[in-house]
Amino acid sequence: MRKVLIADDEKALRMLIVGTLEIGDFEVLEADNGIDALKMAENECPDLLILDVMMPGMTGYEVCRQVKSSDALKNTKVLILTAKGQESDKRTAEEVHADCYLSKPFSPMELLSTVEDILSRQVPI
Amino acid sequence: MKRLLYFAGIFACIIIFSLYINSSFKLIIEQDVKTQLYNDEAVAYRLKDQITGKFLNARQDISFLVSHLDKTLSSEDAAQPLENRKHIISKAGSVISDFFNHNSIYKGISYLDSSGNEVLHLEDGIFSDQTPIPNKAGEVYFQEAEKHGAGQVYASFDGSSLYVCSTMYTDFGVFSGLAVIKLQKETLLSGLQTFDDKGNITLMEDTGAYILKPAEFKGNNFTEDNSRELLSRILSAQSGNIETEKGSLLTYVPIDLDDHRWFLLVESDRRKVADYSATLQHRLTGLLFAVITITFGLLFLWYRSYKKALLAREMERQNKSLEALNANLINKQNELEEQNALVEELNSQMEEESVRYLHQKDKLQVIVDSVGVGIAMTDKEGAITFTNKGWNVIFEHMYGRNIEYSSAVNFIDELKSYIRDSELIIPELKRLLADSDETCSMEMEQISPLKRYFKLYTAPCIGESSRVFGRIFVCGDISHEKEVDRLKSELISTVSHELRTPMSSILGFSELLMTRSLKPERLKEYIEIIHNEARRLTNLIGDFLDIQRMESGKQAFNKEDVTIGNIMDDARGMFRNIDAAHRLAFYLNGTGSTIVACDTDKIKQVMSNLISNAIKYSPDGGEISVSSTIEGDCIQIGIRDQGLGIPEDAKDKLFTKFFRVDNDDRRKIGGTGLGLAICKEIVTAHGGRIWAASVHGQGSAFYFTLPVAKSDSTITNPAEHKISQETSGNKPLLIVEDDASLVKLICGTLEGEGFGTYAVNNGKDALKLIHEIEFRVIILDIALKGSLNGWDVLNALRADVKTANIPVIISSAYENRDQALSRDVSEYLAKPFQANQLLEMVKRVMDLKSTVNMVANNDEKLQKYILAMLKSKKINVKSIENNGDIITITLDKEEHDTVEG
Repeated sequence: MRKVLIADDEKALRMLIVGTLEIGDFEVLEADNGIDALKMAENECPDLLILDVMMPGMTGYEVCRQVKSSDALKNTKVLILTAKGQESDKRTAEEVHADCYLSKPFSPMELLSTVEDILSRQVPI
Repeated sequence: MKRLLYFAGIFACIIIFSLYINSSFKLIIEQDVKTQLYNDEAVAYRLKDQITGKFLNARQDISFLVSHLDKTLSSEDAAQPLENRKHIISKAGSVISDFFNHNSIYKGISYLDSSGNEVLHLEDGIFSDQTPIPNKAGEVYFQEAEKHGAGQVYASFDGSSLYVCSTMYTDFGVFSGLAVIKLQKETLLSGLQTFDDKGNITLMEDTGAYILKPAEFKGNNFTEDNSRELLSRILSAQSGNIETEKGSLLTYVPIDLDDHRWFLLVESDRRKVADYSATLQHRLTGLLFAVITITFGLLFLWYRSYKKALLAREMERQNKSLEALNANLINKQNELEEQNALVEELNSQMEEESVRYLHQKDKLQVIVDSVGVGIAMTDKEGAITFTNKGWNVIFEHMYGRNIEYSSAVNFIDELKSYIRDSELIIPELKRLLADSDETCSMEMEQISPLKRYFKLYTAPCIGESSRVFGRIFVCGDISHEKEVDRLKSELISTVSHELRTPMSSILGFSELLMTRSLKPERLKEYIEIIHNEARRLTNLIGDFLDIQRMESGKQAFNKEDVTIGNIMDDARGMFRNIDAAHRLAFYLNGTGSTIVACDTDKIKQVMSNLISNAIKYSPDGGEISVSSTIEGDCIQIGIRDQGLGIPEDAKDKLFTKFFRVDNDDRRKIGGTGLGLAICKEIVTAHGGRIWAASVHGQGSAFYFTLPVAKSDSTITNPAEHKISQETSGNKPLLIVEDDASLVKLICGTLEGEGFGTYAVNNGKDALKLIHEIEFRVIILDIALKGSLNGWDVLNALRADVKTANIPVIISSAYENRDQALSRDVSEYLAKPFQANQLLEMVKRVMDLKSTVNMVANNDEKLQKYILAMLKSKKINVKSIENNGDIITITLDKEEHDTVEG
């Protein structure tokens, strides 16, 4: 079962993502801030991290950067969700080596297919 | 010596003067003689005219007479008797006499026949034979008659008588004779002679006894030479005079008559003239001497006065020279004064000019200083020639000291440590400084000591005839514009974020609802989320619209009178369900019934914004106190939290729209940045003001004021009872309790009723706080952690007069009621207790507290003294209890908490 960690300070958003991922076969973990998200990621080694950018404690970019620079989490994919939707945000996402970038508002089905897509690219060890 | 010379000089002058006078006299005498002669000549001429006139007239008349006579004689030659003829002739004689008037005397008339015999002779009107006409004369007459021809009349004078002759002819033209009329004449002159053109005297009248011929002159006192000279001069000259031997003067005048030239001579006696002259000379000499004597006298007098006058004149001269000097000095002074006046005028003009110039300069300076940008000018050599105030302010602030640069290069070098990209900008500026025609504009970011942005514009200064005389630098602070830009892009980003977040939920969940079949409870949950998010979105849009409306002044405020109590109730109602970490405390300080005129909804919005901000920005929880106090004419409402506080540099901009404190801690705190801006607009529209006080990291406090409505406003308020209760609770309550959950319960209960609360968990802190804050009631637990238990705290309270009267409610799990009441404790509350129980007890204690007990020794004197004192202070005594050896005086006490007795 694929493990997905959702980090967003908006409860409604988390619920939405959880509700969406319920359709697929995922184990879903939740965090409401960046610091917790990073800790959980290190502990749980999820297959995918869905990160909001604007989070208390640590931004999604920072979490992504740290995840990507960690050997233990090298297989963890990162999807960045941002409500800002500006060009600069997308660039920043690329800079921190996020695997994918989605801007809010997003279609849950699109998110689902994107998640499936990212995870299917994963090469099993 | 000098005087002698002086006299000699004067004497010589007099001599010369006298001589001059003498000669002048001589000249005058000679002149006189000449005048006499001229007079003679004039007389001669006059005589000449007379003679000529008379002569001619006489000749004419005689001619007529004679012709008439002749006729008479000839016609009556024989027949007429002699008497008759005589008569006729006599008549003719009287006629002639008439003609000669009184100048001559008619002597007689002769009539001669052609053979020369006298036919008729009349003497004095009577013919007389005794005086015949000499033959000689008759001969002459005949000769003359022949010479002149028939009918001519002529006259001759023999020295005593004038003979007028006329030839007479018969009707046949035969010469019949001569008629001669002899006229004797008196003369006024010494002599009168007439000569014919041959020099013969034709007429002579004596006294001069003149001769007829030149030869005869001699006989009449003329010498030979003299006679000849006279004759030659008479013959040659027209008129003149000559001196005769005897000394008389002859004046001669020619007379032309009947083709003959006659000369009239007038003789004057020279001696008479000489005598006259001599007399005159004597007289003149006498006069001269008199004049000389008088002159000497006068001279002497003059000399004396002259000496005086000389001295006086000398003095006068010196006076004059002094005066002149004085006048000169005065002139000079005047000139100097004029020059001074001129100089002064020039000075005043200069002053005026300079004032005008300064005024102009000031004006320009003011203009240049108030353009709001910095201006500096350099000359061609790169020296700074001018900077305005704006420029100085910018760079003094940047360099942190006075800027006094003469060289622009040094000035530019100094920029190095203060601006970003100085390694690019400084060389560029230096290049421009040397450039004479490039115009350039650049932005410059100041990085120290503050972050600021400048726009620097530079252009060459071009004067008349395109002469470049330097360069101008204009430096404007565009930090504000930059900030606005930043705010704007941040706003877009924020708005975008704030809009997208709820939109994500709404769209996402609605999509899930559409695509999936869900369990009913899940369905409900999702729809609720959609609803909430949509509401959130609506609020956001509402905020946008609010601020837009308020800023454009279109917001209408429906003001009505409400009490602060109402406002506070509303606020409390809004935040009834806040999370456990935060506590909301209200302190009305007796303002519950104060009325303000406001738009309740809008003020509610302010309260809501401020309280939710306080909650949002105190993520670690803590008390949020809402207080209201009267400050002058206003009610001041304060909302204090114990949260993050506000950074110093953000305070100014707090109320700026879309401003949000840019900080990691705050990232997670959502918001549009509009809340405070809306608050400010609302409060300002109510005539109040809003501000913040904060220490970064130690919480913040926001205050706003509202003007108190007029006291005569009446208000009906259903919650009035409650308010009156709370009015007495203007001081907070203290809870001394070490059980946190119990503290929360107690505080919650009390705050729910509008009481302000403080809580501590040990006795030491409690005592410390009691001394800092005045509490209304203290709820005290007995079993406390730490060195002090409840009893210790109570004892300490009662030991101090300031705190001795604070009501204390003991709350204990132990059964200590008796012990407690014996220690002057208001109430005892046994744990566990109900919230209502506590509340009632607190209220009861407060009611009790409106009276005050005084305990004193039962001494009559003391009692009287105390009562008198109380009366003087206008404190009413409620009751006096006598308990044996002590008395308890209960005072009606609202405002007087302590009375020492």
